[in-house]
Amino acid sequence: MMKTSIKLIAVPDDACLVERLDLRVLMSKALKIEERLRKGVNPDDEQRRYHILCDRMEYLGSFIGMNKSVRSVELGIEYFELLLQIQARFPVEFRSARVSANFCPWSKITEQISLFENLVKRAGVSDRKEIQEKIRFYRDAEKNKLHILELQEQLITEDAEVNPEDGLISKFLSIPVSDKITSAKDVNSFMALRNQINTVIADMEKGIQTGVNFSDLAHNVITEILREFVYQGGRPMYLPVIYADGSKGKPLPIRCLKFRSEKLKALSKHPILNVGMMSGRHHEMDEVVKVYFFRNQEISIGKTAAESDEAAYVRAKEIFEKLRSEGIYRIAFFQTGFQPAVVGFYRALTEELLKREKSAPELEVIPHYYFGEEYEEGRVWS
Amino acid sequence: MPTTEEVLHGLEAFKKHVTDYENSFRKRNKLPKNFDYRPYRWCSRDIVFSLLVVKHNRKGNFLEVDVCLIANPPQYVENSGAKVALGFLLSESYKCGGSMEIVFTSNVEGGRVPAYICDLAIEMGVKLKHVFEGHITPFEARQLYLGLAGFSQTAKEKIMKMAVDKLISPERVCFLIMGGVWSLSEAESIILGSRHPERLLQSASDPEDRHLYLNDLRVAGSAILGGVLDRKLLRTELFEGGQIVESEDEESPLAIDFDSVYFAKIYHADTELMIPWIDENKMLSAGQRMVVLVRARSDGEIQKYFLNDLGSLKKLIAKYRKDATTMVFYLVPRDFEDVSLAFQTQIISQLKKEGVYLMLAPDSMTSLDKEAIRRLETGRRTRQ
Repeated sequence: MMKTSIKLIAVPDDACLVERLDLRVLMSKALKIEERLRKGVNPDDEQRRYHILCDRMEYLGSFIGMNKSVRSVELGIEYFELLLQIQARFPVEFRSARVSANFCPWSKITEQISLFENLVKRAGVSDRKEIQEKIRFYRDAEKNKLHILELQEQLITEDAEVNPEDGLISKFLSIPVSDKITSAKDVNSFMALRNQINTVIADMEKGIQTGVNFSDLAHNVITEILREFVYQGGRPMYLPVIYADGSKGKPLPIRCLKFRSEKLKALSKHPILNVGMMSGRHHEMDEVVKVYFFRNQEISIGKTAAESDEAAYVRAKEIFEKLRSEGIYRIAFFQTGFQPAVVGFYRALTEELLKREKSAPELEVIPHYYFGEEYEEGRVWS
Repeated sequence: MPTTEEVLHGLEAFKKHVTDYENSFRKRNKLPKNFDYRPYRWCSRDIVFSLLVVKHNRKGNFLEVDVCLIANPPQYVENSGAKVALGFLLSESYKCGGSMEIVFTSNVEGGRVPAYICDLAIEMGVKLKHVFEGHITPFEARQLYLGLAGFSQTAKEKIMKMAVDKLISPERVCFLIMGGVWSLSEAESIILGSRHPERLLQSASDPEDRHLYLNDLRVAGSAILGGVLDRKLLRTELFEGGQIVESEDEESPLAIDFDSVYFAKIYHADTELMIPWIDENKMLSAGQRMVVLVRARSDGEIQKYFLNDLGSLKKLIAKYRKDATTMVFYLVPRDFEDVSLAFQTQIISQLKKEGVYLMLAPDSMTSLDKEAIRRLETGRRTRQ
């Protein structure tokens, strides 16, 4: 079986240059890419460049390790397992603390090892031998002004074949999955989505992995039915979201808002701002709206529908946060049929309204559904 | 078996769908959406296995099948038409993001699950509960898909275990095979030969998490190297119009097993095969077995780990050479040529001493890495 072992080597400044390759230059370039990746700028290109740089550093590391006398320590195969454990518990911190990075310039060691120490403590693995060794090695490199490279080795260990678990087939067959049939009768789209969401809620309660498929549904249907569930009474919950390309969006909060008509009255004196959903898609809308909420380029760059949904959600959250400090907004939201953007927008709106629930009413969104040449007004979100 | 009237009715419906498709999409140079009816004809050369018309039903979130005509050509294995049709229906259902429920309309044998598919389900030991209502439930679809993908018993057990532990859905594993991201034997190498196959099969690691990503790349590279050899051995050549051409749909009869203890592939041929990438002309005769230790290693790694590999080869020999005709090979990428000549000679002589053949793949670690990245990226865009 293939297993991964990790070895650390500490490289002094004067050993960094091998022929034309300079480890310090490679590390600095890779750090800049990490920064751009955090900002989400051209992630595909940046990831490709990052892979090449890491590859070169590893090559350089192996060369230095073999040909120069440098300090090193083997963390062994269990260290990789610990990495996976930490990532499973703290995925965000795992990335920000650069736990899985293969290099650390001397200038970053103090910061990085402190974050690592903190994280392993929280993950309850700080007393593990491999972790202690890594911390010791980093602290030593910090004192001696050394850069660190973490090199991977693929080992093939001859483990004995494992016998299958008792009762595996019956356990497999009892994994909750729907064994019911859906009525193939034709119902209208609103009712169909309502039924689908109700089925998903019922399945979730039984522990069945499921999700509402929003792809290919009309944008007015999504908005109106979603609104119905967001303002519905009952136990608040998150609705899993999937798309027809198979990608999985962030879940949507439902049964979490209360509709108060007095809020609407309080806002009714204020002017309405016409806002289009996304630029560059329906130019005939340009005359009707003052501004667009999303730039087409920012949202539809994702490869999967879930990535577009996420991009719309993040951008909408940023905008709503900014609007919070600007006072009252009544928005007539002229929307079209790009489902991931619609879902991302209303997820952000629901969360924003939840945040503002206890404060005075300052935000209202009135959906305006664009159907070719006509607009239809939807129910208000406030 | 469907009646003549049902077949004629199905053919009529298929013809109509083809005309509609031509008018709505082909002539307008437009592509259909998942929720549009799409006709498919599954053939091998001039033999038709199945005619299908499907769409994703948006309201019910299931796959709707309006035409499902299946043939069982006698030249092929039993139920081959049903296997082709069901494999496509399950994969299409997964691809469209539906619930995996499949619904047959009244155009299909009067609105029931087609008889050939029922036969296949019986053969696989899966009980269909709604045959005459024309539905296959997600629960039934899961078992059919896993049965149809063709995994070995050990791999199937590991997939079930991963599903029980909520690590990966069995549908995704099957789709990666049926959708052509990984070949069956490559997937078996990943599933049985690595500690966390679910991470690779889900493309769970981003390049920024270098250790996790590199680990997946290396496992993928090893599986791909083995897959390159599979394809080379399976390939058959035909003599057509005075030229030798590669057959697209016929493969050499070859059984491929995987030894997870040594990350080695075991091939049993039913017909005589030319063994590729070795220094001499050797044939694998019908009934003979070849054991290949697969090592996707760079030149530096070959030097570093050769003694370990030699140890594994000796153990492999002890395990498989009870049958004296078994041939043993050491498969490495072209990077071997970058190893110093002195070390190359040393490796070759040590292998010779053990009766092991050195097999040099035409691929380098760079090309294996490139292919591994491509597959991981494809997997990232595939339904989880």
